[in-house]
Amino acid sequence: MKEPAIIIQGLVTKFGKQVIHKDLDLTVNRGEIIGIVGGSGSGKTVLLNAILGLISPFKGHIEVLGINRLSYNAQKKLAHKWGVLFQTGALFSSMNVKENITVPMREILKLPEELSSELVSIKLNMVGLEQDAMYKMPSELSGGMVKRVALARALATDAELLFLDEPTAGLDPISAAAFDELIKRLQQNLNLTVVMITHDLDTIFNVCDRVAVLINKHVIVDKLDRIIKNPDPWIQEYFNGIRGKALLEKYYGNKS
Amino acid sequence: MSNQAVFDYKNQDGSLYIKLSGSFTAPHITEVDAITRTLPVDKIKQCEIDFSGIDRIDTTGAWIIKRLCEKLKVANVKVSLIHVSHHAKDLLNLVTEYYQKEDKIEELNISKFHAWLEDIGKTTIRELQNAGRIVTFLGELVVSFGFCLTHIRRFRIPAIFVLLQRVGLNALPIVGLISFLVGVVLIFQGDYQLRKFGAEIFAIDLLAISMLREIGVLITAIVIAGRSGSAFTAQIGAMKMNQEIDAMRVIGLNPIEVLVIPRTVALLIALPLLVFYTDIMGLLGGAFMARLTMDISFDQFLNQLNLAIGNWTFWVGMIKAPVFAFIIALIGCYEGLQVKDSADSVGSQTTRSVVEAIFLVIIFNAIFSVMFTFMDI
Repeated sequence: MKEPAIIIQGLVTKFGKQVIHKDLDLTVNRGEIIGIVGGSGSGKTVLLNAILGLISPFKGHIEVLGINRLSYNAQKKLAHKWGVLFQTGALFSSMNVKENITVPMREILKLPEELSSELVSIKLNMVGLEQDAMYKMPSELSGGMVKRVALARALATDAELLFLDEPTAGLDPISAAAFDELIKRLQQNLNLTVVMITHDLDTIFNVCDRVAVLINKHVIVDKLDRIIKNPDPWIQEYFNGIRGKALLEKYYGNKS
Repeated sequence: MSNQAVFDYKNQDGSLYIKLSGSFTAPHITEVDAITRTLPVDKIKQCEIDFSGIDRIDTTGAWIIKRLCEKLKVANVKVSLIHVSHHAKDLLNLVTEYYQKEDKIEELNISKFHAWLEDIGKTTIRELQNAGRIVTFLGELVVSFGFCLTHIRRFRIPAIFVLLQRVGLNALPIVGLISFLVGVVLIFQGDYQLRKFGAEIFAIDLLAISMLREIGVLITAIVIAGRSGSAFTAQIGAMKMNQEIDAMRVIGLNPIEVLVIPRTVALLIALPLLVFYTDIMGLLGGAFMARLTMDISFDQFLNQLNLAIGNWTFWVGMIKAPVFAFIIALIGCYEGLQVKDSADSVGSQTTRSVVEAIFLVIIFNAIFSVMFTFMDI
C-alpha cells in the first residue's frame, strides 16, 4: 500500500517577489490521512491550491494519482477522483443545499436524479444535518452548517482523494469528534486518501497517519510520534504547548 | 479501473440468485441502479446475493444494494448475503445508519389562479413594505445630514473628493459623447421634418428647448443611475455581505454617515455640473450638424439659440438635477444596504437599484413638467 497518490518535487511558488515554497518535496501515499500544519501565512492553502491546479507553481513537478498536473486535460481527468472542502465552504450561493450536493453527482458522474436525491439524503445524515436543511439556501445556514454541507458536497462522488481545508474549524467539539470518526471510517472502508489542513490538535492526534509541517518554505513529514521529537522550536511549541501536552499525555503516556 | 458494475441474476422457482461483480462505485453504477429499480420481486421467496465478484465498492454502491435488500424485505423475501467483505459490510452498515426515510413533503394543491392571486398579494405587500423602508431610510439620511451640517467636521471631505472624481470626472467622456450624438440626431431629424413647412430654422428651437429643459438632464440622470447608482449598490452590498457594515456599527460608526452621506453629497455636486456639461455638448452636437446639413454658421446658430431660449429654459432643466441626484444616491445606497449575505442578492439588488432609480427619475420628471406648466414657465 505504499503507492503514492500525490508526488510533489522541487515545488517553488511565489507571489511577486515573495517566495512561499522553496524546493518543497512531499509524497502522499495512497490510503493515508496526512495532516498539514503550519503557522499562519506558511503557505498551507497555497500548497493545496497548487495541488488542485488553482494556481500554477513557479517551478516544480506535481503528480496527482499518476496524472501530471501540467498535462493536457488534467483538471478534467481528476474531477471525479477528488473531493474538496474549501476553507469557507464555497457553496454555490444561488443553489439550495440539495442542489449544491447534487452538482458533482450530476455534472461529473451523470447519476440519475432519483439516485442522487437518495444519496443526498444519506450524505446529509452522514455529516450530521437534519433533512429539513435540504431546501435551505446557503445564506440561511450557520457557519458550522455551511462546513457540513461543503463536506457533504466533497463526499458526494465518493472520490478516492479528499482535500479538506480546516474541516473542523467552526464546529463544536462534539461535531468535530463525530467528524473525525466519520473520516476515519470512510478512509478505512473506501481506502480514501485524505489531505487535510488543520489546526485541530485533536484531529491530528486522532485521525492523521502522518503529519506534514510547513516551516521555512519547506516541509517536514513524518509519523506524529517522531515529529514531536523534532527539535525545531516551532514544532516544539506547537505540540508541546499547553494544549499539545495534554493530548501527548493522553495518546503517548507521560513519555515526553 | 474502468470496469462497469455488473448485476447478473437467475430466477429459479422463486429463488433468486444475484451475482454482483465489477466496480460498485459511483462512476460505474448507473446501469445497475436502473436494473435494481425495475427488478420484479413478486413471486420470489428467497434471495441470495453474492458479493464475491465485487472488486471495489463505495457508499453509492452500498446504498444501491441496501435499497434492493429493503425492497426485497418489503416483499417478504428472505435475503442472505454471501461472500461479503469486511469493507462492504461496514459500508452497508454505514448507509443503513444514515439513511432515514425522507418525509414526503406534502405538495399543496393550489389552483393556478389561486397561486396567481397569492403572488400578486405578496408582491404588493412586499413592495409597500419596501416603500415604507425607503421612507424610513430617507428620514435617517436627513437626520444624519442635519447632524453633519451642525458638525461640519463630520463630513468626510477626502471621501467626497474621491467620489466626485469617480461619479463626476470619470463620467465626462461617456456623458459628453451621448449628448453630442443626441444633439446631432435632433437637428438632423428636426431639419428633415420641418423642411416640409420651410421652417427648418426652428429645428434649432426644437433642439434648444428639448435639450435644455428635458433631454439633457434626463440623459445624464439615466446614465449616472446606470453607472454610479449601480456601483453604490454593489459596493455597499459587498460590504454588507462581508459584515463590514456590522463591524462599523460595533465600532460606533454610523454607516449612513460614513457611506451614504459622502455618496449623496458627491452626486449632489456632480450631477448639476454634468447636466450643464451635457447641455453644452448637446448644443455643440446640434451646431455641428446644423453646419453640416443646414449650412448654418456657428454665429447664425447662436443667434437663433438666443431667440429660442427664454429666461427659464435653462433653469428648468438645472433645477431638476439635484433632485435626480438625490434620488439616485438614495436608491443606490438603500438597495445596497438591503443586500442579504449571498452573491446572488448583490446582483438582484443592483438590478433593482438601477430600475427603481430610473423609474423614479422619470416619475419626478413628469411631476416637474406638470408643476412648471402650472407655474407658466
